[in-house]
Amino acid sequence: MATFPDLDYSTEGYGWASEPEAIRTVYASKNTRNRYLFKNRDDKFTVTLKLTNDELSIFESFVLIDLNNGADEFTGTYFVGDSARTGTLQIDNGTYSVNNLTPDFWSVTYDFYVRERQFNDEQTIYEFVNQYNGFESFWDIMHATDLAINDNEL
Amino acid sequence: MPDLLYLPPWTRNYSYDIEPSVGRTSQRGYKRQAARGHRQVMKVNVTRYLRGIEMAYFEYFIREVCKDGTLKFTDSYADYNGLVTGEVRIIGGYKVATESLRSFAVTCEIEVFR
Repeated sequence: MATFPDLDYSTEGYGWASEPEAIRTVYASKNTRNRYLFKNRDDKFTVTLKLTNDELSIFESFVLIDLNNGADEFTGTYFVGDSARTGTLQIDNGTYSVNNLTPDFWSVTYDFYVRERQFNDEQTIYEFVNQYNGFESFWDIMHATDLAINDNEL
Repeated sequence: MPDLLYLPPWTRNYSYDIEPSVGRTSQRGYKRQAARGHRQVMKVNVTRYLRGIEMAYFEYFIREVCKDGTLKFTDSYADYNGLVTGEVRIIGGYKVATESLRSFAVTCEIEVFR
């Protein structure tokens, strides 16, 4: 599987969305029902890259050649907050948009799917916060850990 | 019912539509409109600003505890009573826009059962 080249995402325009596989039914009585079809963990992320001419050339040849014209999956990084994660990604329909910012500078925008996104870290945080009745305990422990590691205050 | 605790409420860009159980004829000419029941659907467009690990907490709650948001859960919402707590359910999914690496705007549509 190809690996995404060494190009950084811009924080501008970065986001993601869940796409649940569920059917919502609204009856004439205005009773509503949600039917859960199956678990979908392919989340869609939107990213923008700010690239020079050379970097744009690298990106375009990566999509055309390494990704079989954008169809194939690749190994790449995605961010959930400031935590970088590595996963199996796939550009949505293989399409991307290129916008010329200055004569030698470009922005490239596209959507990609993170295949089978994992929520292990989220689960750990969720259980910790609930166990200690809120976020305050978490901040206190993080602060104490910061002091212990960086300032050697035990 | 799962309870979404410890997060700031949905109060940013907050607006809602009421869809009552009323039928209106769609044919041309004379129109007839009649109530079919007493229920209403309250659909609220909401945005919630989350910081740091609040985002992770929210995502795990919606995706795993509430089965991708298809289950009802207890959360805060606003109406003429002010900020109240009650049953809600997400319609469709949610979208996250990053404002910085540690600040997020979560937007979605929720249905309130009041």
